[in-house]
Amino acid sequence: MNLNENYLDADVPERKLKPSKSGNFEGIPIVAPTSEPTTSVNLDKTFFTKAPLAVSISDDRSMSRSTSINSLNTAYLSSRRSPLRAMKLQAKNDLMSTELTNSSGNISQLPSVQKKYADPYLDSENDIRSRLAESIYSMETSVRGSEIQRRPYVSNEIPNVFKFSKPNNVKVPNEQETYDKNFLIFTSAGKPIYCMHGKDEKIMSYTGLVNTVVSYFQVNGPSELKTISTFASDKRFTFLDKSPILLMAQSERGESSNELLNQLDFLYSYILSSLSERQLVRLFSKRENFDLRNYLETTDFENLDEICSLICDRMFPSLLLNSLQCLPFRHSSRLKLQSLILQQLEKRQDIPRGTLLYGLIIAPQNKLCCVLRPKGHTLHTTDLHLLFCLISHQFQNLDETQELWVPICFPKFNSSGFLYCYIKFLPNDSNSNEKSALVLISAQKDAFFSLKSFSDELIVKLESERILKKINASKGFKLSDIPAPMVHHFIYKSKQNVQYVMPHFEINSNIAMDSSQGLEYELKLKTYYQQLHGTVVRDNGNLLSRSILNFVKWSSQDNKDMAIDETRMQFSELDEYIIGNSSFEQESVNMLGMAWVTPKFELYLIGNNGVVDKKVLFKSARKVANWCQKNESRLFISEGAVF
Amino acid sequence: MRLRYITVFDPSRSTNENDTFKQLLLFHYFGNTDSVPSLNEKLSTIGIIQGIWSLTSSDDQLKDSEKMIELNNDIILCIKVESKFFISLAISNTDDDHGTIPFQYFNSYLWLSYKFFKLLNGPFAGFSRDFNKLTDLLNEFVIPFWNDIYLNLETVTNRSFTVIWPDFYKRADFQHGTSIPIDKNTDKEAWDTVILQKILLDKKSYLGIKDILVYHLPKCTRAHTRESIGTKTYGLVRNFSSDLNTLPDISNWLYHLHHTYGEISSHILTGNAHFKQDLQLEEERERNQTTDEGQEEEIIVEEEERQQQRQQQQQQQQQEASQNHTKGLSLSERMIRNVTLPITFAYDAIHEVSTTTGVSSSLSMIMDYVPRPHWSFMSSSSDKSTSNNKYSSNHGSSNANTALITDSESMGGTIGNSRFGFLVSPLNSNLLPPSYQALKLNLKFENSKDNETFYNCLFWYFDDFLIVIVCDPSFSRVWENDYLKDLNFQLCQSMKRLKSEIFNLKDCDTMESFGYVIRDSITNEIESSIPFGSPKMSSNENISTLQLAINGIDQFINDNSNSISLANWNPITIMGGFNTSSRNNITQGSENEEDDNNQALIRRYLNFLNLMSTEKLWDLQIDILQFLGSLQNSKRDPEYFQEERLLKLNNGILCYIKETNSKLVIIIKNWFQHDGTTKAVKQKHHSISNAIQKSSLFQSLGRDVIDWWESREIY
Repeated sequence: MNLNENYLDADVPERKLKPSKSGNFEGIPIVAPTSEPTTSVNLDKTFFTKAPLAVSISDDRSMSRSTSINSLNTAYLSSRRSPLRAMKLQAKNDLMSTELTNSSGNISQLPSVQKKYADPYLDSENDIRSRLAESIYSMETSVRGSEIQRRPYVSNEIPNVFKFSKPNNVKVPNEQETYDKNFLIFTSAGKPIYCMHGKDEKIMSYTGLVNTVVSYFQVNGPSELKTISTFASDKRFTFLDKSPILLMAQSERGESSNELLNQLDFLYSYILSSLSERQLVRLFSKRENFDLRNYLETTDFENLDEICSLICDRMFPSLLLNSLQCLPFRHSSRLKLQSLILQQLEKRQDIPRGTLLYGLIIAPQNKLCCVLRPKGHTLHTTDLHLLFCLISHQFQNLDETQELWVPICFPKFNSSGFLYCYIKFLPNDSNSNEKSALVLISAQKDAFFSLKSFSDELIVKLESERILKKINASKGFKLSDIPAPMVHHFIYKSKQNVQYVMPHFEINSNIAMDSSQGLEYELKLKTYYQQLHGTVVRDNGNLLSRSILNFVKWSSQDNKDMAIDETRMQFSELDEYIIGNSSFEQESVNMLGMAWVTPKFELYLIGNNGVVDKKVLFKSARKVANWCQKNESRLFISEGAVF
Repeated sequence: MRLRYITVFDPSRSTNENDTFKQLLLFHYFGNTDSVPSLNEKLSTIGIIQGIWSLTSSDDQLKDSEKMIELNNDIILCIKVESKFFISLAISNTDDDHGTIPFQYFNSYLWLSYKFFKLLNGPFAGFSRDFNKLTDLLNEFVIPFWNDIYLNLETVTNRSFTVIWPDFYKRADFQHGTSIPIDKNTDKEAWDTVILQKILLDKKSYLGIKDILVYHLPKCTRAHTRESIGTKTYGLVRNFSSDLNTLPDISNWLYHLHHTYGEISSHILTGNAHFKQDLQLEEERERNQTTDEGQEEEIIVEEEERQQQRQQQQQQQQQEASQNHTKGLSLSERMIRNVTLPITFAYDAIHEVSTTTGVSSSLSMIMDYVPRPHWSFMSSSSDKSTSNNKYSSNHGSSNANTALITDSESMGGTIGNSRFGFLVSPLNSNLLPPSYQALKLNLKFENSKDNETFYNCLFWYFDDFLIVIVCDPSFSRVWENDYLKDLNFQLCQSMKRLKSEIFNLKDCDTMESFGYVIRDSITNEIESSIPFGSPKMSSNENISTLQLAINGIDQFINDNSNSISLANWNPITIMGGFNTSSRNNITQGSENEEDDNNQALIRRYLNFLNLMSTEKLWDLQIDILQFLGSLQNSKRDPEYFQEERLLKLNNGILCYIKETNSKLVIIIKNWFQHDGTTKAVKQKHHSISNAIQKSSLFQSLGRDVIDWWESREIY
């Protein structure tokens, strides 16, 4: 076992090792990276990888059932919440520390036998102290070499309980079978168009075979092949026949075939957005074995790559929840923004009715800020997702002086025609790269100049009214804004508005979201949500019932259920030495998540590791829901600017 | 929903393009297909299945043993057994959505059909020299097996959703509420000690009898009937060897038989009873008959051709006599009637014989064997009074004499209210096929030298208890009448004790407020209190034409000359005790009036699910399957992590599911009836160290569940 591995993701069985020894308490920095009260305090991996069996010290049942690390979290947290309890704990700790400071930190001196069989409860009192101390002392032994990046001792990460821990794009090259998810798009004649993974020459024969299978059922049925599932390996192949294009998803990630179908439909929608259905049919009606790859642009493939990675590896709940993410914005400001736009539109009588169909202001990270729409018409979420993807990926390099006039087919609006989008990024005073975009959508090819002048005037107006500044300053919200303790992250979807909000990711400050660790975190969080969502929907994608409350708890196996083959794990001698002489134990995992569906909203929530009492979590969930409902006008766009 | 075809094939048998047909071992289309598909079509079907199989297989070939291909309206299920044989089943969804059965049921039955075949005939690979024989046996077993399901889709659903795990078998659970099983009486031997000491360890049979399996198979009655017993008590009570690996298979086979045919009898055990559908006959009759005389069913008895005509004449006479009474019968009653109909023949035959030869004991015996309610068609007929009189007088005598009454020849009899006797034993007439004397089952004992061997199995019943006696093939004593008599006596003693033990348990008549399923991966056991039964699955009404045909029974009925064989002829024996309610009717006015009140409503080992209608229960099961499906999709690393769920739906379902790598626990409650006892729980159970009880999700299930779990753990 490599102790250098991140404890959170390491596949280390829970092993009881020796009880702890002592250390110097004074030298331990217990510092949370953020001062948010809602973040739990987990120690760095080297601290947790091996730690003695823990005993709770808190009297509160809600917290005491976890092991001491969790008790530490809770103790720490409770100290921040209840001064009285904190004082009690402090007194306890003071007692311990006096004992502890007397003992030495020499690891190798204690006979291991004694350690192995010592009652873990004997020195339970000084558990936290000693282990905190040990984390410092054992750093040097466990961190062999200095190649790994030191991390703060305290983090608010959540453990990974899932089988995969690496995002797809970190796969080893030339190993085709390492991916657990793949998308394949090919023509009805079997010619590949796009595949997420795999080399062309291999894909060619594969698509041929798949095509044979699909057409067999078309001929001998006639029926349509939908899904092939292998139960033991959880492999699922889902097919979407959109002749002349066939799409196939292959997944081992436990997604239902309906989920996969939605993803395939999204990919197909992208192709349509670039080509339109009419053009697609026209191309293939001439020649069935037409090679679409020659017709698509490089950017199309890049965009497909981007969408696939978004679907597979990034936190992209939009597709799962089939809703839009919104920019939280002060209600009065939003109203002002909307009225400004409407006023501006009224002024411009030269723009005939019907020229401007929709107007959108899209904040960075694809958050919808404002929508201008004709009465009785809305845009389908899929169309908007596609537009957002294009803006955030393909057009992101535009600067604010440039503007775009692009034809885009919105497949759910009208799959056989194009709409024309005027896209301009709004000026941002701060040096941040993230820019909001103004999108004006028209059905007329030659409306560019009228829309341009409209946009220019609007931007001037927005700047003068200081609305633009507010848009740029609006950064969403943090979990700490909500008085809901013990919550790691949540997604709140307002059913009526088909929109959702979620707080910022809060992980260690020195982990960039773009780094591999950041991506790992996103994938982990995404999987938690996907699993939670999977527990409340039927195979056909409908919710199980009108209102549902579901708790899901992932925890380490009960000891008696631990059927770990010790020999399976290969330890080097040095590792054995380290394990044998340190008192690390993997932190026990106690992840509690919940999915709460009511006729009004859906709330998916993940608690901090160590929160074992569902009441604690539900209390927080209530607070989250109340907070979201209270701030509904700020969080969601209810109507938009309707003309 | 209807089944389309089933096929068994072995691709390894074909070596070149010209002999691809050799792959095909069985290909059967269900129902009356207008055009019989050509060999080419069959070959292309198995070809595409193979193609899909290899296309979607991962590197780890061993892991992949089952696949599902979903088409628009069809599902093709395919399993791979013995590393080279494929069994595939195609199901198509009809337009109307109602009564769609989740694929898991069919998938499980696909496995079961293979397992049962293996149990009765040995593995496929054992026929490597003679594949024609394999095809014959497949025709004999697999087609009737699936045909029964084709004709009556409830077959796959009526044992609750626990059937979706074909590798697991249900165990009987006699613990109820918080009751702790009563202490074993010190002065009396326990029931299992009797079997162990007096049979298994007895020097006469030591090592000859490999194992004795004791099953409790009560009839699945609903709560609204006068007597009902919870399904938690259904299943294996215990067996005595620890190394019988095929225990799940033999158990599931018995449960399947019991539920498919509603009863267990010699014919059913020996595989001679099956459903038949004869639409043409039905249509003809409809055309011929006037509206008020609709013929709903008939018995077709398959036998040698020379007897057929005589046979049918007799049947038709019988039908005409009873057709008015069969009209309003439910499906199960109809099935029972079909099973018991041959007994009415037998009764007539024996009646004749007894009047001339004076063999009266066999007459009373047969009357005892026949469960009272299944004679309902008789009660309204003209011979109602005589039948009742006979019945009551008969019971009067058996009541008065509580001592063991056994028929010296048949080893069947009554004791108190209980009936017992052999179903399959060497006591059966030699004229019957050998399987009536001892059924050969392919079993595997872990510690035995041979891998798998055929063992002689005898079947014995005591009311609702079924005992399977597994004998070593070399154990010859089992063919001796005296030995069987002794066995009969010892088993009787033991079962008497078992019965009194479980039915005198205090609290067993209370209603549990929760249902549960516990699946243990280490022992392959399922404990479940989910009631059996499912609503009608077939949308068409062809069930009314369903018939249970029994092969070869009639040579006895017609063979009046052989009166001696009739006297000890008991393949008609049908397992099950007297129906208490009907007994009460008979003894009314006599000395048992006090008993009447006590027995007015007998409900034991029930829970709140028993009160639900079948339709609601079925919806609940669909929901639970959905939960389980999403649990199966869970991507947690099962080696290190366990998952718990607590679902609360607005329709009142409160469902707790916990999956660890050895156990799956499902507990169902109705949260409308859920009182706020959890607070009390919190304080009281502060010191409990049991892992599951620590869980706050589990605790929110309430006081009663926690108490039940606790007492379970102690037990």
